[in-house]
Amino acid sequence: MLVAYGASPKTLAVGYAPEQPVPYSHKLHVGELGLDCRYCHTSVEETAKANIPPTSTCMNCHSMIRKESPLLAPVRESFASGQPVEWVRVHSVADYAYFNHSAHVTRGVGCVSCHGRIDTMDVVYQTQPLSMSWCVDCHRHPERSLRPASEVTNMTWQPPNGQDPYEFGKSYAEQHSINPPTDCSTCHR
Amino acid sequence: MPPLDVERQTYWRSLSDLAETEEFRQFVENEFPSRAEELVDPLSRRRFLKVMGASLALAGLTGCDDIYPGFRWPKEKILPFTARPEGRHPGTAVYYATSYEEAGVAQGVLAKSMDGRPVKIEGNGVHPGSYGAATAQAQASVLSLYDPDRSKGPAQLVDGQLQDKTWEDFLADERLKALGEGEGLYVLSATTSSRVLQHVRETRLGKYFPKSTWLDFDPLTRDEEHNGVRAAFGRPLRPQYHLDRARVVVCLGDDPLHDHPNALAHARGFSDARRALGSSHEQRMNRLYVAEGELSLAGTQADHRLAVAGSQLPRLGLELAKRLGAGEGGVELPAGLAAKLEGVTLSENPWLDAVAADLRENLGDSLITVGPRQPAALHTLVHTLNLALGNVGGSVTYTPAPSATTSQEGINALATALKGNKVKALLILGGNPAATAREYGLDLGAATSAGAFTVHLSTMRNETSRACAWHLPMAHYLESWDAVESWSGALSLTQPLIQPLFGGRTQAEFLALLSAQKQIAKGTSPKLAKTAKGYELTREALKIGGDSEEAWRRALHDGVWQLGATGAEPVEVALQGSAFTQPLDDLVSRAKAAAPSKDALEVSLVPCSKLRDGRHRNLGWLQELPEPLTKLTWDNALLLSPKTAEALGIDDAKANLVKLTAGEKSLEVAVMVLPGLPEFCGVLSLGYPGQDAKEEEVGVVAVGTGFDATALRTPASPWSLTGVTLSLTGRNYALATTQDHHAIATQIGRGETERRVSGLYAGTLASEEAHEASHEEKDNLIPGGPWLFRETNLSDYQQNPDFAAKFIGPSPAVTQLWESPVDYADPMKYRWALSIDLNACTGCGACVVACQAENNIPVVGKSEVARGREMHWLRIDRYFRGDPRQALNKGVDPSDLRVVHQPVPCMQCENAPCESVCPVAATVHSQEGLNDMVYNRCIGTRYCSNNCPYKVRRFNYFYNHYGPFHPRSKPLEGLPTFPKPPELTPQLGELERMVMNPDVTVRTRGVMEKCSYCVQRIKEKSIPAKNKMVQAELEEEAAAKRENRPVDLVPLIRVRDGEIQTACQQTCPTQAFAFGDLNDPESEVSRRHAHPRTYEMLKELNARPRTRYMAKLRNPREEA
Repeated sequence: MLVAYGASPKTLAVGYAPEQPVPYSHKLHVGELGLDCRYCHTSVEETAKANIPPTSTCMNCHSMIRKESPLLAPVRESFASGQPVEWVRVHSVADYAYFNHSAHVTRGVGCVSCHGRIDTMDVVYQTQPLSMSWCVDCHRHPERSLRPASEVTNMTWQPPNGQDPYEFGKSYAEQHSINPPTDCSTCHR
Repeated sequence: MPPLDVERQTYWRSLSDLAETEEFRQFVENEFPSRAEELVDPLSRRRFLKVMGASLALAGLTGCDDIYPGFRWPKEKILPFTARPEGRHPGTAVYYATSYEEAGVAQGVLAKSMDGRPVKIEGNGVHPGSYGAATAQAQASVLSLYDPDRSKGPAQLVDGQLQDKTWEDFLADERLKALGEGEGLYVLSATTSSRVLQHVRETRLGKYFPKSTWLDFDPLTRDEEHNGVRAAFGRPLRPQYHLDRARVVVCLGDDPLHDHPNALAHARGFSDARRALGSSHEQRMNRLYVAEGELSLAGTQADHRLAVAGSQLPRLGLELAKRLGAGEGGVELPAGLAAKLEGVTLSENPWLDAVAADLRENLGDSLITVGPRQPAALHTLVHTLNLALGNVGGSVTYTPAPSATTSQEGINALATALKGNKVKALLILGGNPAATAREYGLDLGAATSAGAFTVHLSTMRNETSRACAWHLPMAHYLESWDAVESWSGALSLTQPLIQPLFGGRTQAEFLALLSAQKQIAKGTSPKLAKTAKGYELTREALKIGGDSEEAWRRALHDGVWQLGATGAEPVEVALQGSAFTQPLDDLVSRAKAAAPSKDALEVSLVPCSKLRDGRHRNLGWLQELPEPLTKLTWDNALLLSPKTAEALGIDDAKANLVKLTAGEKSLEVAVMVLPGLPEFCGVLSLGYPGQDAKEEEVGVVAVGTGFDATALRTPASPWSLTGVTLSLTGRNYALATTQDHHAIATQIGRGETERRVSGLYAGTLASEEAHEASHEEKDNLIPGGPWLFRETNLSDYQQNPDFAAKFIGPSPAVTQLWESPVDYADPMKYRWALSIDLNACTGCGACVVACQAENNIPVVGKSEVARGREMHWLRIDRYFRGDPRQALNKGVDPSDLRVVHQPVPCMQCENAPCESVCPVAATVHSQEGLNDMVYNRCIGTRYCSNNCPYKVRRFNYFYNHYGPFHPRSKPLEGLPTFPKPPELTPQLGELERMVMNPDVTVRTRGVMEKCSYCVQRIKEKSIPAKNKMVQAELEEEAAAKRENRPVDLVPLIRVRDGEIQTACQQTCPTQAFAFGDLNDPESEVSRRHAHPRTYEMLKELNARPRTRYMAKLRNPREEA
């Protein structure tokens, strides 16, 4: 029992918060400054990968703001040398599972559903197990996580007029024929 | 959620050091232990248990409030661009048009790049040399980029050993400065159509080394054809065949569909002219006649084939000419030819009678081709005949030949210079002449020891490198800029997808570098040194043709210089009077050649259909690709007909090793019996390094494979040996052929099938009698059924269009035991299916390699193949057709033998037999009708494979992805370990791993796998289509709200037909495959599935396969 619990993704993966080469704070950028997720994670609506922004995205602002900050030294170095910043991956599914961001974001699954309240995190950590059973739960009951596609990046979205989120999701799924498949090849190739 | 503790989380990672060392981490961080091969021996097993015990103890100790290290995925880094190019998305494939060149002929390809790594080659649809298809060799070329045996840098020969050096060391060699004006400087270039090399030669080499001598050599150039056409028309021309324009095609010792640099275009044209996709009564098919001393793939496609010794082809040619001109309504032959033909006597030959009659009936609508290994005089005759038949300008045109000389002239000139001690310096640009031109007596080693400055530029440190003073690494084509030409002369661009991995340079870059050095040495400005880069050289070379930035960018995008251009302009030809003197005299004397006999065999030496002249020998994908006819892997063999083998007393099952003696040369070689060959004629393919090859010269994959047929060649007759004697050695050599693997139609396979459907066969041909009457062909089909392969003649088909369905009676009355949980008819869903047109398939095997590249299919090695454990998801079953006695060639003409090819991927059955027996539901159905294989659920019972009637499932007995250092199990007796004894390599090397397709899971030991219909390609297109659909709906909703109107129904957005191509389909030169959605009635696959030629394999099992076949048609001449 102990071993089983010890090895479960709930125990192992949730809370994982590796140290990053640059202490980028989502709390500051998203929570306080109000950057939209898609400013950096540009391809989230079009491709499988949301993508980590290139150094040039950082430098759009930081060539003017906090130009001298020692914390940003790796970013400036990377921009000057052309060598990438080596970010540490936080959210990771197994190599044999092929998650596609665009398929979820366009259907109205909010970023917060999988990544948690990124806007409150100084250091990004994993809030959900990202295990297969967790994925399948949602594929069987998508209504729990649905919202209008225009609100996917909203970290604090609530259904309008005090509607129950579950009821909203249910009608939304019906309206837009959102029937996530649970075929094996949906994720495994 | 437990409270967050950032400190401890980070610390948690480093805890892994606590338990154990590297081995431990290897084990726990990977999902499956990567060193399980160690478990085989007890010592390692103990260590494993210790390690495992440690980890469990740790888990127990740490309990629930702490987090145990290990079972998380390995720590991964994400390295984004510093500035991402517009439109580039990580994890999304980008395709670049480039050109793959072999023996001086370019094939337009699209190279797929995943995050900067080339991982797959496809054909370039707008290229006139590829039509969107790619050969097996082009498919495998991506593997050669990551070949761990590639040269990693320059090396100098010191005391007989190659020592690693740098380019600077090379440039500092004093002998470079002593090159002077190029006196005694010879450049031997592997034949290439590179305009850039040509440009550098003219502007640099010609300027700085004006006295140097340039020679071209490639063993695969068509010298005899070159000489024959030159003799006929008086100048060097290149014949261009247009097989789509010919109603009757006659091949004399030739296979234009495969054994030709322009084979892709030929195969496409040929299959277009016999596609038979419309309704049955309007079919028009071309007719193919093949006469050959080998058994070629074109021979298997032939409507009439004649097995005849190669030495008899000149006589056949002359008799054909005489028959064409003879009698009333004869073809008007040139007077010179007619005069010479008077002395020719006609022998009885029904094949020739039919050919002549057909040619006379189809004047101007036919084509005669002759093989590259036939004598030049026969080429001259055939081109004369094509002109007389009115084919020139139609099915055959002529374009200027890129070179006025032949390879043989080039290599002879070098051999003479070497013998005369005239060579002061020798630059060998690519190729491996020390191995492939051995018969010319080039003693490079002696020249090097005598002080000649010999330099070899090559991707591999091969035999030639080791005979030269210097070896320099050459850039792979995926690392190079270049401009090359297709067979038809269409200019194609080559662009790099990756920086040279090992600092290699192209031939042009190397020459430019030498020339720049020369300039520096002279003390002038070193400006040129800066231009010694492929990009600048290419731009410079193309500027001559009027290069604008726009034209350049467009050409770079398309891969061809001018979109729509088919190549060089055809020229007018006129026969030379001399064409009837020397060549015809030569032919007449050759026509007197005696037929081969038991004591004087005839052996054809042919380039291997996989490895060619040996240039691809170190590519596991090609080594393991079953040779299309023998299905041999990892070896070549002397092919003999059953009757010949019997006459010579060869027991090919027990003692197949024989000694061949031709003149003063001899070679020990294994015999394989192949029906369909003429009597006393052997076929032996070139390109294998042989049993004595050294690993450091040929590479770890190639070492120990096959028999070195080059040892038998002579310059006078490089392609054919006559008067060969054979003696038995009494020893045996184990060959690994897949011809009996995964059999459905053999006794065992059939017996099993019959048992399962017992009673179904007997008398199930409901219409059997009626059928028999109208269908005499039936008896000639694979004896006994279950008629996996179905074919008939065109005329039969026209009278009996649904013949394919008649091979089996009505399906057994079956009741579905349960309702299908999936409503396949739901039009909102996709219903994927595949159609394979057996009438188009020529059996070339490009699809097998394409599948292997696309789906990360491992190479398992000879010993495993011999155990039937090859992993190819798609196999091509080759069946001989004819009654068994005929097939055994005992007293029956081998010309009557027929051969068919049938690609067999997973059938994706709707009632999949594999699914019902899996105890862990590791193979289950998807809503789109795919039979999904879930690797992670699989526990390796292999029940599914047992229950698969089509035998398309493959089991990983080992960690097959460990590349050349594959940890072998105990080898079969008599088989070498592949490719060398077990060595522990934790995983694939950094380099070998780069070829993997990241969109497909790499399977591990103990897991079943099979064709997935390229599900990754389906998802690549179907997810964005659905995204678009949802977005369109949302937009419509928003618009309706804005305009205060009810929401309209948004038209369905789905994957368009043809948007998804499976890997096999995309690369197929003849478009035999069609993949698509059956819920779209207009899709190609829907139309094909509804076609009368379509049948289900083993329909009687009621598996309801989604993969269906279209029966083959032949078009024999009906005798009036």
